[in-house]
Amino acid sequence: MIYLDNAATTLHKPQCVIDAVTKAMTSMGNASRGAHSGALTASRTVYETRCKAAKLFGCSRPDHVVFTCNSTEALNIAIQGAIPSGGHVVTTDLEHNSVLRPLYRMQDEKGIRLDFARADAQGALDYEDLERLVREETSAVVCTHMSNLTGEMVDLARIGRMAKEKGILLIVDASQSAGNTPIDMEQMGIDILCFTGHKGLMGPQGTGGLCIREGVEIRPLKEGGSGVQSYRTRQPEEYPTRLEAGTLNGHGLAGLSAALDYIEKTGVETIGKKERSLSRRFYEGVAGIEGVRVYGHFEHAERGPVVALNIRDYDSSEVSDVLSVDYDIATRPGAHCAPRMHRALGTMDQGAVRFSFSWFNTEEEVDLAVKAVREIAQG
Amino acid sequence: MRQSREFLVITFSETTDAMAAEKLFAEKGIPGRIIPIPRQLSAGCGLSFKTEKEWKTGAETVLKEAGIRWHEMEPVRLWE
Repeated sequence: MIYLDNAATTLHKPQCVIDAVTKAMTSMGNASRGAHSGALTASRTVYETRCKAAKLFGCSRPDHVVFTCNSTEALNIAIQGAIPSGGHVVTTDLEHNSVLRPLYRMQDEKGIRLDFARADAQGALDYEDLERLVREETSAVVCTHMSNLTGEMVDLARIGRMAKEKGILLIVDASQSAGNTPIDMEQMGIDILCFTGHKGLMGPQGTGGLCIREGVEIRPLKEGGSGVQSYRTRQPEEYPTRLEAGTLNGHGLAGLSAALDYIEKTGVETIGKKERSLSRRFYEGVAGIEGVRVYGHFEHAERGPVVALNIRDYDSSEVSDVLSVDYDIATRPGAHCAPRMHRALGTMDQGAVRFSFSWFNTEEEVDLAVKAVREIAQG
Repeated sequence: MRQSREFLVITFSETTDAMAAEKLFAEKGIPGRIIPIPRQLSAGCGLSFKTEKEWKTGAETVLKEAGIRWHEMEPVRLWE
């Protein structure tokens, strides 16, 4: 199989990740639960993973790295825990449902007021619209770093500067950018960074988390076992335990730890450069094919390793199915959990076929995918 | 019959702090190991670091320098 659905999850993981999970499953007890050797192995592994994630994302304190099972959980914790009832929030048309649905819930249940900065017909964010929507009483800006649908990138440093000037919380969804794009929370002015472990970071599914700037207060979404301060009636106040009720995915985090080592050794810039080069090669291969429509401003140098397209008026699901059955190429069709972006692109009905690239893809695979798109377009 | 004597026990309210301290003590040559918090210091649960009493000043110094929080640092009679 030629796997080009890496924006959903990376299927090919570094061998060290697989080895680390296997080792963890034969040696690790429960982190923070006791001091026998198995429990301590788990506690040490989780701690080292916090340190590595803090380093990768420019988070000043490892104890402000909170682990969750994915970005969605991290975003729910951030959005529901840091935005006050009745607050005003600015977000964007580029967002995934993992941002939108918690915000809509807050709108329905907590009376927050929502405004959306526009995306143009190619999915680029209108920064002036976003800056215009931010008001004196705005509580937070919640935005993605990279569209999961088109790979469009958001200039976080620009938004971060504005948020800092106005004293507004900046919550970022880095699901698509973590691992292929440098992120520095301090430099970019990010208050809460939400990430997943199983996409660009090349770790196991069931891992993710949020990095929190010192001084940012988040109410716990869940309460429960913590392994510390057992006689307190409520969840301990200190991070990370405040937001980590229940057993962590220690086995998965051992894999994420190995993945973070792999990424540090290889280099985020090196990984990003290769993925973008593959993505550009694919774009250049398909852009001129009659009947193919690609979404996005490809004149922008800085895009994510994602290309979304449609062929004529064909149902994107049928195209993806032909790619899978006839060519053994894995892509994602339909709506990509990004309803407002589909509306901006005019693809709510047709959906789009998304090709997304990873560190482990090759130019040969890209060329075979281009050939397949050409053949389907030629009927 | 197990013999007991006084040790220095440093307790932490966060596992992350205990892990950071364990790593730091190893780097700085402060001997000891992580143990469950003895009941004399906490009726709850969690992790603490057990070392010899003469390391009190050294442990305090390196924890303060590194900005690692601890809860208590007390002599406790424990099994050898």
